[in-house]
Amino acid sequence: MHILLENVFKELGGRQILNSLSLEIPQGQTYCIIGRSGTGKSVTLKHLVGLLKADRGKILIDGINMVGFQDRQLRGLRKRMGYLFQSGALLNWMTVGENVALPLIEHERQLSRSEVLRRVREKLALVGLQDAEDKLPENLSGGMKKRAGLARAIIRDPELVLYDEPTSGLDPVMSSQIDEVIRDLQTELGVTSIVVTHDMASAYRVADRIGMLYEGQIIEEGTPDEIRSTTNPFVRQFIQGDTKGPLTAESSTDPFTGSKKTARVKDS
Amino acid sequence: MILLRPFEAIGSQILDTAFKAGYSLTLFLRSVACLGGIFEKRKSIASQLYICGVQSVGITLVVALFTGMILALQTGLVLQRYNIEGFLGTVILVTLCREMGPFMCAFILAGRVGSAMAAEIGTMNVSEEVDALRVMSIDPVRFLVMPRIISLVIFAPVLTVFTNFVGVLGGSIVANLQIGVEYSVYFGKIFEYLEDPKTTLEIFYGGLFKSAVFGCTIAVIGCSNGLRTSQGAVGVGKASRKAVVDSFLFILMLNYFMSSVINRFFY
Repeated sequence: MHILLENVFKELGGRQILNSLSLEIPQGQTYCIIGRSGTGKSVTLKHLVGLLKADRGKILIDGINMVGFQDRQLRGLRKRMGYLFQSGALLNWMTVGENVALPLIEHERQLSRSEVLRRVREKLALVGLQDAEDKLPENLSGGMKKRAGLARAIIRDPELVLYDEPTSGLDPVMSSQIDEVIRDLQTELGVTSIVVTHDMASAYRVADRIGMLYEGQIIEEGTPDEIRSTTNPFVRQFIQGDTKGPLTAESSTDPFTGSKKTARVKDS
Repeated sequence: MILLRPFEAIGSQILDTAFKAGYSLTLFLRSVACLGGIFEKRKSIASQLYICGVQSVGITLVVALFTGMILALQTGLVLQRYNIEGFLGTVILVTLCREMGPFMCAFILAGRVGSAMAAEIGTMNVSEEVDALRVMSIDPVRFLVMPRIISLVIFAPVLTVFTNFVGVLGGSIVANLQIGVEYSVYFGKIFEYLEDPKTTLEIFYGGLFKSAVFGCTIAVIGCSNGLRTSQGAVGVGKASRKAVVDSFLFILMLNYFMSSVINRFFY
C-alpha cells in the first residue's frame, strides 16, 4: 500500500495535534515515526485507519483519499490493514487463540476450523506465544498481550501494518524478536509498515526511513544512518535522550533548520 | 450575565438529552439493520441470554413472590371490608400482568443488566477494544449491540411470565393464610375471569409486548451509554449510572404511552 498524507490538520481538546502534517511512504517500506509523548504519533496512525477524521488535508491510500469516509466505506480498506494497539486491545472474554482467530472467523468464513487453528498457531509461534493459545488476556503480562495483539494484527496477512509502540514493555530479546517479525513481513510479503516508537534501537533495526514528529509536523526524515548523524538539535536531543536541549526548553530555534526561529507561514 | 446562566444550563441539558436520544435511536435502527446476521451471532445471543437473563431469574422471582404477597395483603384488607375478597386473585392477576409484572422485571433488568452492559461496553471502549473491532472491520453494533438487544427482547417477556406466575402464587398464600380466601375460590375466580379470550389476550399479550419493548429499551440505553464512554474508570462509572437512570425514565414514559395504546385497542 502506498501512503500519502498532505497537509493534515487535527485539533483535539483545543490543542492542535497535527499541524499540516505531510508524509509519503512508498509500498513495501517500513517507516518509523519517532517523537516525544503527546506529539501526535498515535493520532497519525488512527487517521490512517479512520478512527480519527482529519479536520483538513488529504490522506491517500493507494491514491484514494479516505478523508470523509464513513465506517461502511472504510471497511474494505481496513480489511487490508493490521493495527497493533499500544495495550494490545484484546477482547477480555475470549482466549488468546479466539482473539487471534477473530478476523478470520468474521471475514473468511469459508476456512475450515482446522485451517483457522493452523494459521492461529503459526502466528502465535511467530510472536513466541505458542503456549498461550488457551489463556485469557487477564492472565497475560503486558508484553504478552502486545504480542498476542500483533499476532491478531497479522493473521490475515495484511498489506499495511500499523504498529503503535510494538516493543514498549518488552525485554530486549523479545524486542529483537518482534523487530524480526516486522522485517520478515516486509521482506517476505512486501508489507508496508508504519511503526510508532520511542525505542531508537528498534527504530534503527526495522526502519527503511525514520521521521521525527514535532508540533504536529515531520521536522526531519531520513534513513537510520542519516538520522544517526543528523545535526538537527531537536532530533539529536531525542535520539540521545539528553535532558537539556531545544525539546525541553522554550526554544527559539527552528526545528526544521536548527537555526534561530523566524515567523514561518504554515500551509493551509 | 449571571441571570442567564440557569437558562444556559437548561439549554445545554436539553441539547445533551436530544443528542443522547438521537444516538440511542440511531443505534437501535443500526441494530435492526444488522438483524440479517442474527444466525451467525447465535452463540453470542445464547451467551447473553444466559448472562443477562438466566442469571436474573433468582432475584426477579424473589421480588415477584413478595410483591404478590404485599399486593394480596394490602388489597385483601380493603376488599374484605366490602366482602368481596373472593376477587383478590383476579385483582392480583390483572395488576401483575398488565402493569406490575412487566414494570418490575424492567426495573430489575435495568438495574442489573442495563448497568452491566454500559460498564462492560464502556470498559471495552476506554481500553480501545471497540476501536480494535472497528480496525478489524467488525461492526461493533453487529458484534456487541445486536446480540444484547435480541437477548433482552426474548428474555424480558419470559421473565415477566415467571414473575406473574410467582406473584399470583405468593398472593394466594397470603390470601389464604391472612385474608381467609380459600385456594379454590382464589384460583376459581382467576379462571372464570380468563374465560373471555379478549381479556386473556389483553392482560397477557399486552404485558408481554410491553416487556419486549422494555427489554429492547434497556439494552439500547445500556449499550449506547457504554459506546459513548470516555475518561477511563470515572467515565465507566458514569455510563453505568446513567444507563440505569435513563432506563428508569424511559420505562416510565413508555409504560404510560403503551398502556394508553393497549387500552384504546382493547376497549
